[in-house]
Amino acid sequence: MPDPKLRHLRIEGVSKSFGGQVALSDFHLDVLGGEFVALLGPSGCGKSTMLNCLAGLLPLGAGRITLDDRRIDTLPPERRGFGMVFQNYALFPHLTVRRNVAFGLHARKTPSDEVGPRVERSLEQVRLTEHADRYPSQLSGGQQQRVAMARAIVLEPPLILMDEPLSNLDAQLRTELRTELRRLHQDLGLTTVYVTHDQSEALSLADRIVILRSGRMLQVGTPEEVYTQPAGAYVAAFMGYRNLLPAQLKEARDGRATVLLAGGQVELDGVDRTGDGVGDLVAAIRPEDLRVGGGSGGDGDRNLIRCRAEVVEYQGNELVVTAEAAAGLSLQLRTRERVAPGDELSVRADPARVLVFEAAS
Amino acid sequence: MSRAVAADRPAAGRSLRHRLAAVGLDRVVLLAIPAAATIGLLFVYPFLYGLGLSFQPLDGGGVFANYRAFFNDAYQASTIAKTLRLALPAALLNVAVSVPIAHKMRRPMRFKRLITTALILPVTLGTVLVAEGLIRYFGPQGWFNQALLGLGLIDAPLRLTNNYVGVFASLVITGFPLALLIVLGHASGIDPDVEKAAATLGAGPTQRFWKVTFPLMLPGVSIAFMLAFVAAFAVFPSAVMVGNPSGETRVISIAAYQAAYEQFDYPMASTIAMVMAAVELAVIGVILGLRSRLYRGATSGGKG
Repeated sequence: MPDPKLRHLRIEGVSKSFGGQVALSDFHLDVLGGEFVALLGPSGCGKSTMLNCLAGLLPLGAGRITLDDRRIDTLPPERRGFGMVFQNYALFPHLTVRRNVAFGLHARKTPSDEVGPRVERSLEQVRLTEHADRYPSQLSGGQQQRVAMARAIVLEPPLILMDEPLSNLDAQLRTELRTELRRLHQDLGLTTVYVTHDQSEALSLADRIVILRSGRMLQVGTPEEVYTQPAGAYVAAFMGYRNLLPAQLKEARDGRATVLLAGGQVELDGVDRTGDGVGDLVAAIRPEDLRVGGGSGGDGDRNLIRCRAEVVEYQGNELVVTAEAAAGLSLQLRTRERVAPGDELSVRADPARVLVFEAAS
Repeated sequence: MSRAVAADRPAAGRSLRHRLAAVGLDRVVLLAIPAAATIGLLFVYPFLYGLGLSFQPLDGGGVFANYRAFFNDAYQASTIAKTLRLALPAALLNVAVSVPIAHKMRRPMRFKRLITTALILPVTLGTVLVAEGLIRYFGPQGWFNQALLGLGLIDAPLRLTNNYVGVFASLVITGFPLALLIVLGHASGIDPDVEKAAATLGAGPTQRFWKVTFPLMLPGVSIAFMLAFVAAFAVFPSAVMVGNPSGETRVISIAAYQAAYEQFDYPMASTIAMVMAAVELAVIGVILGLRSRLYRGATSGGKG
């Protein structure tokens, strides 16, 4: 793997408001050379604002950004030397693929005998050599986005910024291009900051994920950390904990918590992640962690919930079942058992896989 | 597949919509028929009639006698140059000023609606009203000259009306909003991310404008220029009211008017109208020729 062009990008206390509306508050992040960092969150969480601040397309409200100890947040975008890939590709429609890719080299006054070979090499890297003389409108969405990537990587920038680059593509192409992105990142030793609202994209691509909500950072960690140890109910919901069940604390001891659901009718053991707050709680359970046909678990009725299947969706190798338990408690579960709407079920949740959070976290 | 299915059914059973679709037409296109017919009746027919008339000189002398008379008479033939001298710079100025304004106004900005309204307002005024205003404001007794005289900045009133300057000013006032509307309409279709991309690729503001924005604006600019030119070339009321209709602003439409309504020589008037049309078409042809050598496609990257 080639050496990254950057050693250390440091973002310190960056904030940004739009007309009194806080878009981003006190954002801190250190990115090391060669890292792939994903900013993850729903629209309006501040992730694109942060990216635009990095690119120089938005002035910071507060804070500073340094690249290898050189302050860059006061530079205009054209002097930062970063590559950027946009959601809608943003190719120059009046230029051919080749001239799109060469644009940045010309703008940066690269000697003309270098331009041709570098453009050809980048086009090879994204496998578009045979389309070099076409115009963007003659290419498919996936090809256009690959041109955009070639246009960014040809400059060998210290940092590549990607703003939801795969969101406009259809599902199959998205997974294909995702692999290609990761391959380029590794082969070329790039340092990448990637914005997305799709948690599977962030999990599969990134070395580190930053989860944002309403302009605040909720959690920073490796994909495994955020997936298995979400910092709060909100992150858990984002990481596939579809069941967030309102709960009251019965007792908490040694990192374990026992909570009551549905007004006390259901008792559930789980992992205590409440910190020391005393607010309302939620029990977070992934649909795949609810197993149909409990009873034989050994510890009797522990963590057993009785419910009735309401909606059953066929998904090939499994069924997604929406079931209703006591007192209007709605559960979603995945199972390979045969379940039909109206069936009475008892489902069991492994206590190690039930996370108890404060509801507001 | 669908073609085969359609062929199986008896033709009589198919609706008008299906039958039109088979020849690549939509029913809505039929709505254009009245407009097309009107153009045929009110434009094409008089045009052809006038063309025919121009070849039938009142005093005989052959089919081209009127054209020969027009081009051999310096007083008449010079109207072409006089009109071009007004229309080309006016159209060029209107478009040249529209480009930077439209470029700025693409982005969200304060008072955009107010500014647009103020800029567009002259369209709703007729040329006559604008000419009136020019006389009252810029005439020898107008406020502008009175103010300068009162301040002691000038000794005699500046001659701003009843000459080339007056007509040129009226053409700018009435022509600019039209040009701006067209350029702005086209420029707002340019994807703002394209410029941002150019910035991240290292292009400064000047390079971004000349390498990206302006090339993408050019198709709209050329349409605006053509329309502004055609409108200015047909200038008549202001050339009479704020110009010097017997001298430097004796434009070609005045020559046609005089032939028709002072000398009652309809064939000669038709001849002048045909010359006018030919000059306009020649200029438009040149612009279209230049345009065909430039990029004319979408203003954003295709399937967004």
